[in-house]
Amino acid sequence: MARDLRAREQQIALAGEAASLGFWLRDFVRNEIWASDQFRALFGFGPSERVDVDKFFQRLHPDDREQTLRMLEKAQQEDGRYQTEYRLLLPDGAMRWISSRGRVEFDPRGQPIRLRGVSIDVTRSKQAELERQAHRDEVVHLLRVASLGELSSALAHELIQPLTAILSNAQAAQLVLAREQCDLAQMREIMGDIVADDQRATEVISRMRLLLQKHEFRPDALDANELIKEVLKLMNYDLIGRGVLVVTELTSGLPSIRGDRVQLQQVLINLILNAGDAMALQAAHSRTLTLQSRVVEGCVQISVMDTGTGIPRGDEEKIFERYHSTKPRGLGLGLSLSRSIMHAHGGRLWAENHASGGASFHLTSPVWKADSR
Amino acid sequence: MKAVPKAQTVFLVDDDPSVLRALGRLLCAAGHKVAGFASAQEFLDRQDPEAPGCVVLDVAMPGSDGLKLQEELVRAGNRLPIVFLTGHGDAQMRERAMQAGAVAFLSKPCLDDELLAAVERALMRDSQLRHRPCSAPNGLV
Repeated sequence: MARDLRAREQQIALAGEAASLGFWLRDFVRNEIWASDQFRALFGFGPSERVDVDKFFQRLHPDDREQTLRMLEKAQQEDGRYQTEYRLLLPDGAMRWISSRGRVEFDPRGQPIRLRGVSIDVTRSKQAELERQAHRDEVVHLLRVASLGELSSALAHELIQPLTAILSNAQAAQLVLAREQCDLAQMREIMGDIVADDQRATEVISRMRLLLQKHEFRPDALDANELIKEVLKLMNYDLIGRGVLVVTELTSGLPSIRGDRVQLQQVLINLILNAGDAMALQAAHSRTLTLQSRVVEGCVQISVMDTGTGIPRGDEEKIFERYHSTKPRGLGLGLSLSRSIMHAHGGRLWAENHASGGASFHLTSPVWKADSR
Repeated sequence: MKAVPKAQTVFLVDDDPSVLRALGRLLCAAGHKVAGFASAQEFLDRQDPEAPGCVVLDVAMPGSDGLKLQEELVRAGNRLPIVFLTGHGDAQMRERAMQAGAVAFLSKPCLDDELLAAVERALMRDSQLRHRPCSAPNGLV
């Protein structure tokens, strides 16, 4: 019996070594940690060095300690299982990505006795994943800069309006002050308006800066209607310049969606620019862009609908292929990238023609849940 | 600055409420009577075609833009002189506006001297036109 057990332990240790798996066992009663050789090698402990919980946490990257600790505490309170990824920062300065899973064993009173865990070095695949992500972020950023380029004159106009109001208000104030009797109430009004217009110009710049900045995918709880309104603020003068009438049909009280604000804005900008192009040949009075938000099958759905030429029959899927473009100077990346952004969000993006003419693009995004990260 | 006959009004058309208010204040402070409109349509609906004065008109507006309003006024025989204000006017727009009889085509943001001088010229042209009712059909002097 004892021999069987030992033989099995040896087998497990061998398999662990072959797969670079590090095993460990934490005894809550004796407050001790037993760790396999492979685990010691991974975490940078000597073969006979005493391992305890504090030493273990010291090896963790400072940014990952809190989260890992919470995860372990949660496992003890719930069904005892956990699975997580964290970084190690070894004493020699090396960084390692570890994937770890484990199980807590409880006594009949529900007190934790032992925690068995297995850890594996995933640095290589993690780095490849991060590189892919960085590459994608780069492409996303470049396309965003390109679409902002298309919007540049509209954005200039967004700044010129408050600057015009500020200048005229300031010069009106100069004229008022030159009079013998100065109306103080009017001066206060003028100053208030100047401050408000200055803030408005600052907001335009912040919105532009946010879109121009490079950043990593960062999901947040977002209000779909706010997202639509922000994008329309950015594109207001572009749409006016194209003679497009904008109609919004926003459902109030929508649940928050889980998404990266800048990337979702980019998808909407892209779809709206396309809609504007599709309507360029229509008579001016029949260029209508409708933006709609509603809940469909538990997801928030945003629709961008135009009254343009529509999608060539049968091409409703083809337009999402990479390098497929219907525009003379198009790169054919906008829609394929928009779709991959939506997929990365756990959502969808698809297109259809509608009977009355024109095309609709629908995107869905899952609803934010308090514990999703 | 010359005294302006009270009867004349500067009709101000701009879709941006803040710009409309600021320009209105400036023109009032310079002694003009001002009426503001938030769109070309509102101007067409509310303005009395016989009222003397001039128009200070934004080019880029949702719905009917400034250049279209100018066309419509010319077509309707309304000869109110127009001063254009634009955020990003190109040479082509300027050409079109000036050929259709605009008094000036100014870029935003514009200094008060420039705007007030253009408005003076426009009001002057308006009173000349009213004293010579049979002048050129498109209001060119």
